[in-house]
Amino acid sequence: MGQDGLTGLRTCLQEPEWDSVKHKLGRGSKAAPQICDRQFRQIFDLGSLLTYPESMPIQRGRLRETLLVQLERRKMIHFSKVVKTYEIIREGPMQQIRLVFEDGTDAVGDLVIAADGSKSVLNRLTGLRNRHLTDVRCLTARINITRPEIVQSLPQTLQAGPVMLGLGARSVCFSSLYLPALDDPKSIYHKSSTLMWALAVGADFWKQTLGYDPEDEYEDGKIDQQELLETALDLSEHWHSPALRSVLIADPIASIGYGAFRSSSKPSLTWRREAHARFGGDAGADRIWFMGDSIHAMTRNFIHF
Amino acid sequence: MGGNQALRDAGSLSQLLPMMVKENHGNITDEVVQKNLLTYEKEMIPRGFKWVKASEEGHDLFDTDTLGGKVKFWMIISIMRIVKYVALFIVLFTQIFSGKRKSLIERVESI
Repeated sequence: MGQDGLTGLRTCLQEPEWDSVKHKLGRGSKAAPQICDRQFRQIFDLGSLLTYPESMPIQRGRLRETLLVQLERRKMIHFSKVVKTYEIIREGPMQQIRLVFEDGTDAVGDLVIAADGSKSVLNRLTGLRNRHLTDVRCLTARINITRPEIVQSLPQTLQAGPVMLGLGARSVCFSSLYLPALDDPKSIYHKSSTLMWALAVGADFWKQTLGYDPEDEYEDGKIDQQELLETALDLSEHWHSPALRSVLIADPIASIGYGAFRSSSKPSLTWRREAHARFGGDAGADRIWFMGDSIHAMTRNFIHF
Repeated sequence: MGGNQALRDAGSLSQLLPMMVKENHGNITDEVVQKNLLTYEKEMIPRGFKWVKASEEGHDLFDTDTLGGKVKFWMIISIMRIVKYVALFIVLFTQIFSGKRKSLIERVESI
């Protein structure tokens, strides 16, 4: 979580939720990644650049819980609704918008804030259509550390802070140890420490080594967790890095997921007019506003200058 | 990076939307929507896409399969090492006049 993210949270959240976020921010490690070689030896510590944007780790699930507190209390959130289509309702001088969901229900309002991520349905329906798939496929895993010895067995650089290593063929590994606020001042090994790793793998490399593109194979979105871990280990054999392999299986995996990196092209400020001219009907509707990856989807990268 | 920009968008909207409703006494006409949408997109699009570009460039740093890629990687690392010492000098020099830089949380809370 960097300054932009924290500023957004500070603006949106009420005082108890903001305090809760602050409490959940990891404070036990460096604020910027270290660029390392395949044996986790440091090449350059980005944190030593005093101008490098700082960030603090936070567990996604715990942040989500905090963000939901007020919405659930006020019964303002409904899960598992998938947008199917929308229409503009024209009555008098003022329009409204109706969203129709796949389960047949609908909702009417003045505005729709499209926050439906890098696979945004509304991005396609409005005619914005500015996203594209990159040539990088990514496996991301979270490991709950069960014993302090496991932290001590990790490479020294990883114990000190986030680590990134180039693996060739457009592949990069990022790993970070999350140490929440200390409850025992004598130990840095908090009982709820977690380790995360991400393998961003070049699509061509994946195809050459395993014989398929995961974008074709995992089309239905149902992927077995054990199969994903075995895939990561199969890939890692080609990088000849025992250190990397030991990080991948440091402790049993709590969760693992797959996703291809998506990116997007910058729309002009007149994109709505252009979309309406191209697709007609209600395309380019002014009453749908985009935020986040639904408009500026970006490669999940761990380095920025 | 994506999550940070999404939260920053949420921050912008949480300021803009209540103001839009209040100023227009809840009468959200098409003109009101268009005017505020332009304000929002004029700020959000350049900011968000600056990070889209940065994320693509960051990944390209690790393309070290070719000789050109290796040279590029080590050149960037060397430049960063030089920048590190220059920045260190500048920060130490400016600290004499402006004091120590606040922590990330302190800076966010003082906005």
